[in-house]
Amino acid sequence: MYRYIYLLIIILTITGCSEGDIIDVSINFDGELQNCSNDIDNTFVFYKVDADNKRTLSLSFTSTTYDSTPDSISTDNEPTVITLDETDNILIYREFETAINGSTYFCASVPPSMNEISEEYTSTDGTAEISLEVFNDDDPNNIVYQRTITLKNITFIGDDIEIRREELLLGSDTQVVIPQ
Amino acid sequence: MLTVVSCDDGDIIVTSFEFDDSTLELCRGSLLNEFVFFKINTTTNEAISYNFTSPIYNDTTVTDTPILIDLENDDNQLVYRQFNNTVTSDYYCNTIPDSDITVTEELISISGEASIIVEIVDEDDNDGVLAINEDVTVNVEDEDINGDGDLENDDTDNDGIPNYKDQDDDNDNVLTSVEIPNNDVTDESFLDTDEDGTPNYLDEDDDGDGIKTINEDLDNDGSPRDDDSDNDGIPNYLDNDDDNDGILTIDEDINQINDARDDDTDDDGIPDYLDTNSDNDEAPSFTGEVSSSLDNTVITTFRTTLTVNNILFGGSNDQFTDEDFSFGFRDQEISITTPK
Repeated sequence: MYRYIYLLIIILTITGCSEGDIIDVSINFDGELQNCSNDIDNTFVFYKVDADNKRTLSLSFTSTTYDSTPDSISTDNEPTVITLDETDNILIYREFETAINGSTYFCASVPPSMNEISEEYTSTDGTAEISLEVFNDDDPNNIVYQRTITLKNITFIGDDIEIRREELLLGSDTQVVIPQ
Repeated sequence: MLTVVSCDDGDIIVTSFEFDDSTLELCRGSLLNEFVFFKINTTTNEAISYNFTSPIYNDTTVTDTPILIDLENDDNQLVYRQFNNTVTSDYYCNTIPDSDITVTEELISISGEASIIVEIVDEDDNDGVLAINEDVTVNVEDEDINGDGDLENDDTDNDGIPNYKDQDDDNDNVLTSVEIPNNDVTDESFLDTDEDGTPNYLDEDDDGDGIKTINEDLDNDGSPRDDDSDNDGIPNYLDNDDDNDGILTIDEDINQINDARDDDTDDDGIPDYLDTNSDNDEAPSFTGEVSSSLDNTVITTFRTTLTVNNILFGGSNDQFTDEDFSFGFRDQEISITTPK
């Protein structure tokens, strides 16, 4: 009899753990890191779209100092830290009813009209760190950097749900710096 | 279910657009030379927009001929939308679409032609003198000095800048905005220190002492306002007795050439009009001709007028009668400074 109780406890524990895993999978997925910006407004968005084109994770922020295509990078390159807030710097996870096209969904001057959002979580606290590391410097006039965006101490809030993560990788891409 | 389907069919009963009371706004998109003109009606939750890409359009560059653009694809179309919610101007040109806004109805152009005109509708020097005196009941002078209705031919100081665009109308290095206020709030006339009938802002010798205002700039720093030889609180250019010796400056012009600056009876290097006695208590002052040095800033208003003609919408819109739509105009003010 006791054995069954132990077994039951073990099963319950496993089930409890796997619940968390399901949520983790749902806010984190693989996808190519992409970006676009509005230079007049100094607004940027880095985003990825999942393989089915039905989920997006996006970091949007306003910065007068961030340069998404720099022509030089200082040697003591510190990561750019964006502090999330409730107005300009926001991390958003979205699920859509129908597939979207990331490159026309984000930064569209007239927003698309037919993309119904079925689920949305936003984080208005935590930070985003954008770091650059030398990826290939064989050609000094064409140094390739790897840009990585890491989200730290974020709290996704949706309807009746709150997901906290100490660290979440948004993604990385490469960037060629051609000195002017 | 049937209702939903029929809505999706595009059966929108819109016969004309009502945006007369809405302000025409402009934003720049994320792509190069991408613009959106839009009007939002917040009471009916609808908006109309025209998005386009043009390498030549600029809201502060005058068009010689109207910019004409054919409406042909996603990057260049007229879009009318109704929403479930109130939209604000950051709906357009945003990096991320707002999740609270759902489009309930939509009309998208499939053809038409946009016409964009940019012209200058106002230029003003903001000097406190009205360019055109529109209120005839108030006794204020305007910058149409000769009263012929043409502002271009009124240039008091002949510096090539007509008075309505000239911040220093008499070229005396004292701005008109400084020269017009008098000390009496009930008196609407312009300050005329020497009471010669020419207000200071048009008078090249404000105190009537025979020395031009511009030349009463003893330290030659480009401003006559900081030169007060006798320290009586009245700068020399407004002081008819610059050294406060009881003899008016104009009477210290011994050789009568209408400039007291070359009259130095005791040869001590200080002209009489600044010399209270014969002791050398002041350094020789600058007696050359001071040149005008003030930059001129003109506030210019550029107006963009947008119309879209021969509009044809996709879907069934037989009821639609507005085949030409005027967006109205949008004004953009900028300061243009011409250095001396």
